[in-house]
Amino acid sequence: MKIARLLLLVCMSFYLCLYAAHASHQVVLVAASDSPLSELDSLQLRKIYLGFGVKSDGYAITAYRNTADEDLNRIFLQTVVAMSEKAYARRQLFLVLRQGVPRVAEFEDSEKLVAALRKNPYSVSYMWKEDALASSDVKILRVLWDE
Amino acid sequence: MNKNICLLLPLVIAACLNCSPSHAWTWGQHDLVFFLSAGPSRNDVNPEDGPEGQDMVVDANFLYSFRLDDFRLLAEYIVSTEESELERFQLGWQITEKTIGWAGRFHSPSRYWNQVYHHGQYMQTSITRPVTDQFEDDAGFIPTHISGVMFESALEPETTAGFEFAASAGLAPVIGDNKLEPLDILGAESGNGSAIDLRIGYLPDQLGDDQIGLTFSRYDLEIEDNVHAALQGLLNVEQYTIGAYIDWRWQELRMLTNVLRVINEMNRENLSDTDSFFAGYLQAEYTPLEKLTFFGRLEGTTDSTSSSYIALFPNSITDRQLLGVRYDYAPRNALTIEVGEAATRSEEFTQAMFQWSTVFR
Repeated sequence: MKIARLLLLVCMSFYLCLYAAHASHQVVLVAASDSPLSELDSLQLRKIYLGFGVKSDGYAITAYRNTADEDLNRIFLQTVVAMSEKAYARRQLFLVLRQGVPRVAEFEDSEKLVAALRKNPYSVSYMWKEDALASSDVKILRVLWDE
Repeated sequence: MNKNICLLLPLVIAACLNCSPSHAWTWGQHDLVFFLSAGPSRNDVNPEDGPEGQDMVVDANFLYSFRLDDFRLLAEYIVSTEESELERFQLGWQITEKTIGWAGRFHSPSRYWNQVYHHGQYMQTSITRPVTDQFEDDAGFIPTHISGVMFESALEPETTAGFEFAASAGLAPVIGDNKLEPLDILGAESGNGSAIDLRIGYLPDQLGDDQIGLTFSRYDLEIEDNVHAALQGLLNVEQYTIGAYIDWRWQELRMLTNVLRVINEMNRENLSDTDSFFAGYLQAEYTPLEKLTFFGRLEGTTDSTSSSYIALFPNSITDRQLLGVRYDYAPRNALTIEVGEAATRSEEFTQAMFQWSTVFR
């Protein structure tokens, strides 16, 4: 009986640890660590990802998509642009066609994404919080999504 | 097929190699989008009398865009079995947050269909374009390509609804051999008359596709080489168009319509007169499933047989009724079938078309 209780306790502890780790999952908005950008509100961010011109210190802010994993992509579509993948892709194509606005660059490789952010101090992207904390090349501007 | 098809292969390969969405340079961003469509078309008509009888039509449209802070560049080049042409070449400047100024060759802002789809064949539901928005190369009788300057108002996403403005001034096409001929900026010659275009649209949701609006244009159309104009003793045509359009959706239904009043001041050697008519279309679309769309379109031009202006373009389609179905499959691929009855000024014929269209990105 004692062994059964012990096993149950171990299982519950394991589950709670997993839950805690999962619950702390956050998606954050990031820029290069030496970027002069600070806070961007939700509307500004949505405008940037939808192809509208948003400036800071007279420089146009560029956005990059992080397509490293499906969950991140789903959260981006839901919380930042509030569109389905199909609708967002179609809108981006129409922007190129009608206004000559290049589509938002996509990065599957996190290292390449960070390199692009470092090249352009007036650029932003998003990633899991733990990935942002693990990189000294980026800084967190704000939390976009919290589970 | 003409020799232009030989140019397709290297361009297709070049576009496919560059098929990632958009490239971030250390300075600016650029993007290359490649639209491709192909399929047989059949016009049940004697080729000598009007539109080409039957053909395998292949269209490759390369769209390049570049943005660096306030500066923009947009170029659209078509290579097809019918033609090879730089369709648009625009240099732009974001004047204010809500206004963009463009200089170069662009599509007339008063033609709504063109403003939405341009040469992106995959983006439009039907294979053919309506009579009011037919390109000059396809015997369209209303100008669609203008060279000059254009100003467009940007949208304001802070509010849900809003107005969109576009205005342009520049050089209009000339009346050439059985068709209008826009200014070729790679081989520009003078002799083109002036062009002014205006469009104002109301969008109930600025991030949506629904729109209702009004258009106006004024063109000085000079005669360059047109035997029918010579027979009429025509010196030039001063053309005005006033129009209204609606592009609206109700769940799986969509209605797209545009009606123009076209007024032509026909300036002749002896006697000038006014030739006017209505031209327009109504397209209905029904999408019962996400990948399946049924559509139909009614197009018409009043007084087309008596119009001395339309007589300058004997191959122009003036009336048409069509039905079609489009099936979207895989990412960014579509198959479309379209059948209809069409008419030029002098004869009626049936049309049947099949098309595969895609976009590489």
